[in-house]
Amino acid sequence: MAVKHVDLETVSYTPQTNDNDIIVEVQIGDAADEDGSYSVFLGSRFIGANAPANIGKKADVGGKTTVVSVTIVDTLTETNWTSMTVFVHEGDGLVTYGPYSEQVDSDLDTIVYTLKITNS
Amino acid sequence: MKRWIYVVVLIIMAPQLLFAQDEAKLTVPASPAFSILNFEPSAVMRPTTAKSLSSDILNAFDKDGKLLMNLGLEVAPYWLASHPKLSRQNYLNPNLGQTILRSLSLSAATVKDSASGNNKLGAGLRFKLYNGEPAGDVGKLSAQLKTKTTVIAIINGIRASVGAGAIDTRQKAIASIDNMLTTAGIDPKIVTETKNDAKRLQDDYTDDPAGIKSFLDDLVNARAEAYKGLAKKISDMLYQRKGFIVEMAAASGFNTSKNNSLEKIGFWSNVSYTLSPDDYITFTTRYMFKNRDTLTTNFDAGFGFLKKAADFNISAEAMLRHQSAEIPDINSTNQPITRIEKNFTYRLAVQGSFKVSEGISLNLSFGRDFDSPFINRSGFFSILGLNYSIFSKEIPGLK
Repeated sequence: MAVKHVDLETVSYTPQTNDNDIIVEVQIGDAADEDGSYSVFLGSRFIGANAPANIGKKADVGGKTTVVSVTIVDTLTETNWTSMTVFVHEGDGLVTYGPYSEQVDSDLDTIVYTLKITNS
Repeated sequence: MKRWIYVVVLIIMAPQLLFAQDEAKLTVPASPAFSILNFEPSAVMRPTTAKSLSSDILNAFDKDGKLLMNLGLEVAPYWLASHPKLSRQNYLNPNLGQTILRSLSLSAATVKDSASGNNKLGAGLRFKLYNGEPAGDVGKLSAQLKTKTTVIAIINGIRASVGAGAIDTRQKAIASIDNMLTTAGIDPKIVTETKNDAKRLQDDYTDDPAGIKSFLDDLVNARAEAYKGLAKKISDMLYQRKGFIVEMAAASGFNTSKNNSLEKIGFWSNVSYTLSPDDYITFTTRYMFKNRDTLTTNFDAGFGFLKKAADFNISAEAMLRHQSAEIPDINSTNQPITRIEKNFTYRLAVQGSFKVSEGISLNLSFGRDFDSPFINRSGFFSILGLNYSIFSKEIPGLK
C-alpha cells in the first residue's frame, strides 16, 4: 500500500476586501469524500481540518502562505482516479483552484496533495 | 498412493467436468466478448485512461494494419476520466442513468480458430440497471478511516512548514504533531500511536530540513500502513452488494476471414437477490443465436441458488430451454432441404464442494444437461473429483 505525494504548483490569492473573512474549503471527488480528509494551515499555524477553515481577513493573511493538505485513499475498485478542488470564499467572492486529479498506482494506495496559496 | 489415484481420476473426468459446466453459468458473463467467442485471450488490455485506451487500440494492429489475434480489451468508459464532483453519497445512491453509465463495460476479443483457421472477432457490452446496497455499514468504517487520513493530512501540512524559524528539529515536529492532532479532536489513542511511531522512526534521521521532511514522509507511510486493513474492508464493502442486482449484457461474434460474417449473437439478463456475499438466488434469461453450418437459436430461462460456508459451497440450478435448429439435410429424393427441429429441453444440476481437510476438498456435480438437436446422448451426468490446493486455501468457487 503505497503513498504518493503530489506537490501542486503554487498559486496566488489576492484578498478582495478588508473586512470579510477568507474561508478555505476543499471538495474531495471520485466518491472519496467520506474517507478522505484535508487540513488547512496559514504558514505554520494549524487552522482546521475537514471543515471550511477561516484563515482571517486581508490584514491577517497578507504575505503569508496558506497550505492545503489533502489525503485520499483509493477504495473504489472501478478506478484509480482521485481528485480534489480548493475553494476560497471571501464575502460573495469565490476563487476556485483545480480540480486537481491524479491516479494512484494500485487499489488501496494513498495520495497526498499539497497546495500552497501565496496571499498577497 | 491413494492421493495419486484421485489425481488421475480427476484428470480423466476433467473434460466431462468442463462440458457439464459449460452452460451452467447462471450469471451475466464478466466479459461478454470473450464469452461469445468461448475463448479467454492470453493478453487482456484494461486501460484506465483515455490515453492508454488509444494506445491499446493502436497496439492491437500490426504494421500492415491487420488486427492481431488472441487479444482482449475491457474498458469501463465512465471511469476513464476523473470525476471531481462525484460524492460518495451519489456513488451509493445513483439514479437509473447513473447506474447504467457507471457500470457500463465494453469488451472486445480476437481469436484464431485453431480448427478452421478462421479469424474471429467478438464485441460485447455489459451494464447494471440496479446495483443493490453495500453489504455493511460503510459510513461507520469511512468515518474511522477519515480520522486516520486526517492524521496524515496534518503531518503533511506540518511538513510544508519545515525550515528555519518554524519546524527545525524532529522534536519540534513531534510536538507540533501532538499539539495539532489534539486541537483537531483526534482520538487520544490515535494521537499516542502516532507519537509512538514518530519516536520509533526519528533516530533514522537528522535535524536538517531534508532529514526532517524524510522523517515525516516515513511517518506518513507508517500511518498509512496502519489503516491498510480498514481501507480494504471499506473497498470490499463498496464492491460487494446485497439486495437486488439487475444486470444485462449483449455480444456478437464475427468471422473476419469471411467478410466479417455474423456468426453469433447473445443477450443475457440476470436478476439476483443477495442475502449476503455467501448466499444468493438468481433468475437468468439468455438468448443465443449461432449461424455456422447450421442455424441454431436457444432461449433459456432458469433459477439458481448458491450457498457458501466455511467448509462447503453448494449450488443448485434449473433451466428451461427452447431450442430451434435449421439443419441442412437431404430428403428421400436426394434433394437438399432444411430440416427444422424445435423443442423444449431442460437442465438440472447440483454442485457441491466440501472441505475434507486443510487444502483438500471433495467436489461433486450431478444432474441432467440439455438435450442437443445434433447428438443423441444421455443428458445425465455425475462427476466426483478431489481438489488439492497447494497455495490457495479457499474452496474452489462454483460457477
